[in-house]
Amino acid sequence: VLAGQEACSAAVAGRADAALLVVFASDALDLSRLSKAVQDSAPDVPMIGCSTSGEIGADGATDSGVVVMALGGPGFQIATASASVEAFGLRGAGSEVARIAAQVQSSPYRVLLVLTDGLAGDQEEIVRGAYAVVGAEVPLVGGCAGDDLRMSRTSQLLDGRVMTGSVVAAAIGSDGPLGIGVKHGWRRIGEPMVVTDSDGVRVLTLDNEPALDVYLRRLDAPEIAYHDAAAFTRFALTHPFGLHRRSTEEVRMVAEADFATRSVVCIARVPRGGLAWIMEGDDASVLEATDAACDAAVEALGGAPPLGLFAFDCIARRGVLGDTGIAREVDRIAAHAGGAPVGGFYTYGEIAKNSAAGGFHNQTLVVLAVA
Amino acid sequence: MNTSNVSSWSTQQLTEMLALVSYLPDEADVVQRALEHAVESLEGDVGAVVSGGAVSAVIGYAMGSAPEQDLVAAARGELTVLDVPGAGPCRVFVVDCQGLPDGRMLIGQRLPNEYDSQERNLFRSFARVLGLALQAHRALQHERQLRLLSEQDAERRKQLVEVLRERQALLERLAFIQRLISTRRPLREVLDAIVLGVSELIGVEVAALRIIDPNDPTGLVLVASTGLSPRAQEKMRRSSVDTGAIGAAVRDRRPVVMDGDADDQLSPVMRDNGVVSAMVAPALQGDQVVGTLAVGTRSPGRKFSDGDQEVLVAFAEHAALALHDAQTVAALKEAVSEATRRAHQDALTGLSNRVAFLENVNAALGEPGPMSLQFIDLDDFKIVNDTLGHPVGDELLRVVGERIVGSVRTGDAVARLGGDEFAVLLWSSSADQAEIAAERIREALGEPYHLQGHVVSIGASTGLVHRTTEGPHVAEELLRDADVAMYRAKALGKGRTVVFADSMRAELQARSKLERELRRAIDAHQLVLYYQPIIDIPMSRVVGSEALLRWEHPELGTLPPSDFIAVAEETALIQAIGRQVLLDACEQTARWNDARPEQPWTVSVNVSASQLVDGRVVEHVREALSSSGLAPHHLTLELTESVLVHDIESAAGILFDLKWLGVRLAIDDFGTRYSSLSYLARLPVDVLKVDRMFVEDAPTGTSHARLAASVVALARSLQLETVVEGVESSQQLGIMLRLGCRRFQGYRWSGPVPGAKFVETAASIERQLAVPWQRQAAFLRRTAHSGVTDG
Repeated sequence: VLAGQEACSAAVAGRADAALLVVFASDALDLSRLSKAVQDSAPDVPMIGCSTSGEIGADGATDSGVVVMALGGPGFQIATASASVEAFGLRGAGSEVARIAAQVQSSPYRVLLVLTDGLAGDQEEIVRGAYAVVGAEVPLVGGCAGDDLRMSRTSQLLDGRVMTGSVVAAAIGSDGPLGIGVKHGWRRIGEPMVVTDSDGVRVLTLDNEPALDVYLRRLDAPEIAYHDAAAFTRFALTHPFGLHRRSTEEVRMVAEADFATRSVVCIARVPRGGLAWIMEGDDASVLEATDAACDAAVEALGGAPPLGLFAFDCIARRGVLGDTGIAREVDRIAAHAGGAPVGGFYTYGEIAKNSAAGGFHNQTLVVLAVA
Repeated sequence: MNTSNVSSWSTQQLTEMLALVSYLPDEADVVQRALEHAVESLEGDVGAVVSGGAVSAVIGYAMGSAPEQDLVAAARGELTVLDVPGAGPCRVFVVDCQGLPDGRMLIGQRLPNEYDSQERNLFRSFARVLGLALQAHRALQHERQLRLLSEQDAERRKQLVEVLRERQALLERLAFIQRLISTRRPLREVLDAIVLGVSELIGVEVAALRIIDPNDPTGLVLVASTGLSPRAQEKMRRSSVDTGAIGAAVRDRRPVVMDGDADDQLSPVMRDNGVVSAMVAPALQGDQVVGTLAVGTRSPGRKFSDGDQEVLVAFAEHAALALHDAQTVAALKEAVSEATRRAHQDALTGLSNRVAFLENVNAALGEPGPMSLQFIDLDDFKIVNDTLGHPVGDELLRVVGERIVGSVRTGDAVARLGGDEFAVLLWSSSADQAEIAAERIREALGEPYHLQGHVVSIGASTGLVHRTTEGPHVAEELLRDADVAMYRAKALGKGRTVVFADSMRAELQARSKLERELRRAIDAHQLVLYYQPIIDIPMSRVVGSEALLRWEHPELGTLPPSDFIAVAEETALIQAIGRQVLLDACEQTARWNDARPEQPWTVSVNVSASQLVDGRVVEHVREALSSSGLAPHHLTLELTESVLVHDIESAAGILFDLKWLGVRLAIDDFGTRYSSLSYLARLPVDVLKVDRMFVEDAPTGTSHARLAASVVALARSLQLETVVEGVESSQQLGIMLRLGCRRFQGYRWSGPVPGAKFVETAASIERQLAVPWQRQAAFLRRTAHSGVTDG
């Protein structure tokens, strides 16, 4: 709690014109006390945030920590909202929070920062719901809350309150440009498979064989992944599916094994009839993607120096990089920020959408640069 | 992005969309989801569905800010660029959307991007899938209305329950067919399910699905039917697109009902089959008719309701979708097999594949110390595969892999090299230890296998090679030595292990020399085509040729295919050779035909078993046709009967894909091996080639000669053209003419000649045919006469 207050104070740095607080915190901390404390230290400033599987700050990545980013000064318009998936449905919740974009309509540059519960169902639906409201006019950016890989319950924060199964959002209107970069850094391995049966996020068969069996066999998975759910999830982190798309492959995180039905469960829908690959990555490919995402976000500022970078980085990329790799990655992000603050977290899915092409990503780095 | 990528990707998008929107409860949702899917798939910035002058669904604009008038104008084609906030000006592309009144679907991409023709076609197909989903949806809505009524009117409840049950059955049936399409079952299976489904749901005895003949768009070919006698099926094999009720359905693009007063439109075949009422609907891809679906009943007084018509149209639409899907599946298969070749792991057994194994061996060669390599080939695996089927064969290979792994030490490398070939790398094993290990593996493999209810026993032949100081230091060579030893084990009677000795290398060298020379021959254009004329006797003309491969070997002279095709098949050179033959034959014939547009020649090209199994032949044929400009119906592909008998299901799929390109298909050597009428009737074959064996014996009156008569009769009953091969004498010709054959090839006129001499040869044959025709005809009459008196 103290850490939260400290982080908040450091972020706001005594300035009275803070417009938005964004909090990324491990749920190893007492989130309700922490968020109340943060809010108390900057009352009247809108706040959104979520639980994480690791936090990203300018001086490195942490576990069981907290990062607070404050956006402020002249030229910002902010509105925040939340919606529960239970009450609105996935799509409805996306639409509901997106309505606040209208409140910042007069700003020349806009973005809707969205933080969701990745365990609440098909995240593409939340993105579609939001996109149906804002269209191409307001880009969507953000990520799915984490719970240190327990995969049981995540939290979303709004104005000092803690929720679960929800979507929280901040519409950011700015006089300065906003830039978004997206990149994954995985490559296909082995031959493609036809998704011969699936039901939403659950993949039942690949090439007419039980999906779990194919997946384990193809990857020559360690013995423990054959019967231990947690071990499977850890193993699967670094071996997502890639779905064949028009100009690229869409990465799908494999989250869970269902040992009874021999199926696997992904974080987003895997359509039946499609062609899929198993993907892999290494330090080099993942770090290349880091540079590419940061470059794209900063370039989109049109030469203006970044005031800060938000990073929504998939937990799986962390799995590939390991602790030393992570340190290098965060160093690189900080270098692209050129001394400006960096804040972000390790996610269960990333959001970046500014055209009708799919906007929900897995195992990807999404960077938002603010100028 | 290359063509095959686009088509496999687009097939996937269609099946995904079908799975996504088929059963949404609300019509507005169906339209919105279909639009979203289409626009997301094509990475568009804006999309809309417009119906009856109003916008039904839109994507890309902020809610409430979509410019309705602009969208309606764009849907009408009055506006080609839309300004989309956040994306800028977007060029739009519009298609009809038949499921909605005056329906149009549009998509736009920010300038300067534009969709290419394949992407536009995909968008058109999306609109069609939306139409299908809306049909299913309307059926559901109808059901809900009935349900409301039934609560008010207890008297009618019973009837309505029945109607509801039927509706449910319709939806389930359509879902089943959609599932067959989306899981890419063979086309035959899908088409059979369509005719069966429509006949059951409408409650009729007869259903027939015809598709437009790709060779001749004025004709329809019967591809699936139920309730028709074999005789009726034969008669209906081909029909015209412009007569009777079918003609009306094709012309007006709507269903036509023939009952009561209108039954005079019923075809005689249908009437002969006892059908008293019938209806027919066109299967449409966009505006284009690709086939027709007809149903008929033998129950007098049966009237078809609007609901029945709706069912027929829904099934006809699914047939159109299945055909579209089938056209792109070949490309998908190609993409998959290409990727498989690049991969490191054997998909079936999970073991390393050849590439990975060779890497292992190379690594081992880099270390000092003893080392051995085993090449294991199962004995008579093909029998298991052929008799118990591929699934059992595959299961056997998996278990074999497991047993080998279980018989070696951790750290020894085991791989499946392909087919029923396995390899084992034994680290630091002395020669004795390696031989013991080889025997241990063979013993383990010799234990009975319990596979899907069958007990199978199988042996293995093993070639073993030890690393020696002077021996090869490259993995490929070491593996080849083991391979040679394994061949020796097979030759010695199978079920044994043979250790490699240097003397065996000579065999290998001879084989690999031939392979090297063959590779060089391809590059040096030593493989050339000869053309043997095909003659139509009643027309007194040369009508085309069969292209035959020759190797003009610099030392050995001209070699026939029998001297080198086996090596080509073993080394996969056959694919490159097959592709070149298609390209050359089409190119040569197209050039001839440019000079003789009034009487173009056809060309027949032989397609080997491995080409057909590989599946790339479809792409190769497409390529040869498009690069040469040869009309597809001037190309005939000759397939040997054994290919078809071996794996009829996958062969049938590929044959339908080939047929769809518009080429003609011939069965070579018919009757020489496994004569099977059943497959002949099921496959889209146009020509039977009568083997020289029948012709040689024709004058002798032996069983072969009698068989020749029945082969020809069979061809005639299936309305297949015959071409008689190997005619050498006038007597043979006379007998075959009397049996009703008209087309021939053989040394009586000319053997195969180089392309440069073919025009001259054809002219000389036609001169011969023109002059003695009178005399020959008289001779034939005499023979015919004497035949009668003798009888």
